[in-house]
Amino acid sequence: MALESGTYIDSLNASNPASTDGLGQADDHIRLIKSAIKATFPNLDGPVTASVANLNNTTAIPSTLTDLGITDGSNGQVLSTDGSGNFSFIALPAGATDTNNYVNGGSFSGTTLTLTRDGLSSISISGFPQAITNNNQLTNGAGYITAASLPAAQSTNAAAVGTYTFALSSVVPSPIPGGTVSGSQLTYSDGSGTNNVGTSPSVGTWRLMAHYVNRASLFVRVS
Amino acid sequence: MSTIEITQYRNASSLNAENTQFNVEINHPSYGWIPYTLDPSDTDMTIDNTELLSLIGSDFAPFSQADHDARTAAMVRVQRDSKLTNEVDPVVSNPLRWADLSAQEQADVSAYRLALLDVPQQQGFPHTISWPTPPACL
Repeated sequence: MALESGTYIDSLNASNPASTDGLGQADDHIRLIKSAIKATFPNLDGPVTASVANLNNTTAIPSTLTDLGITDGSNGQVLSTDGSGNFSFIALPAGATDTNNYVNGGSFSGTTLTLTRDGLSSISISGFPQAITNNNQLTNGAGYITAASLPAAQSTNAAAVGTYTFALSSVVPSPIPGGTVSGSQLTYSDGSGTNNVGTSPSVGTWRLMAHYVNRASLFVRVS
Repeated sequence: MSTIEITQYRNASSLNAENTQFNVEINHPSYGWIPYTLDPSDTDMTIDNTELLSLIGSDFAPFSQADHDARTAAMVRVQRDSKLTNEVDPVVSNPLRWADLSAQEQADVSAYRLALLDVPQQQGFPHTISWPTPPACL
C-alpha cells in the first residue's frame, strides 16, 4: 500500500494508489486529496472565473504606475486620489518638521542690516555705506548732479594731443596766448584759479589758449 | 593721428635721477621750435618718444637736484601767488570789503595771508606743502 503524506497539492503523488492496493484504502486517498485541495485554496468561497489564458498571462501583470494608466510625476511627489478613481502626483506641503525658517522682518541701523527670522535667531550683515547726511552727496530726482567739482587732475596717460586743461604755468614771464610750454611746467587746476590740484601733466607741449593773470589758464596739448 | 618724425632737438635736460624724463626743445614740422616734455610712459604717439629718446641718446644735461627743487619751488610759488591774488587781495585791497569784516575776521585774513607768504619757509618746502586753510569770511 502506498499513501503519500503532505499538506498541499504539490505533495500528491499521481502514481498512488497502486492497482494492487486494496479497495479498503481508497478512503485514505480521498481524504488526502480533499485535505490538500482545501489547504491549497483556503479562501475560494465562490467560482474562479479566470480563464487559463488569464491565469497564464504573466506578462500582463502591471509592474509600474504607467502600466496602470497613471502618468508619472516629478521626483519627490506622492500619488494622490480625488476619491473618484482619478490619481495624480502632488508635492506634499511642508510638514511640521520642515525647516521653513523664513525672514519675517528687519531693520537697518548705522551700517548694519539686521534680519529677524521665524524659528531662528536674528542675523546681522554689517559693512553697508554710511547713511547720507549731506545733500552734496545726492543727485536730484531729474537725474542730474546739482553740484560737483570740476574734474580733478587728468592722469598723464590721458593727456593726449588735443586734450585741454586748466592749469597754472610756472614759466616766468608768463606766456602770452598762443605761446607754448612744456608739460613739466604746468600744474593742473580745477578751473577756479585757486584750488590747484598740484600735479603736472609732465608730458608733451601745451599751448596757452586763454590767459588770466594769476589764475588757471586754458591750455591745449599740441604735441 | 599719424606719428610726426622729429629730426632736430636741442637743450635736452634730464628731469629725474633715473634719466627717464626730459625737457627738450624739438623742431616741430608745423610749430617750429617748441618746448616738449618727453616721458616714455606717455601713451600719446603723435611724437614717437622712443625714437626721440634714441635721438637724444646721452646728449642731455644731467639731472640736478637743485634744478629740480627750483622747478618745484617755482610751481609752488605760482600756486601760492594764485591763492594770494584770488583769495586775499580782493578783500584786503578793497577798503569797503575790508571795513565790513569784524576785527576777528580781519585778524584771520591777516594770519592766512602771512601763512601763505610763509609757505616757502615750511619745513618740507618745496616738496611737502601744508597749505593753510582760508578763513570762513573769504
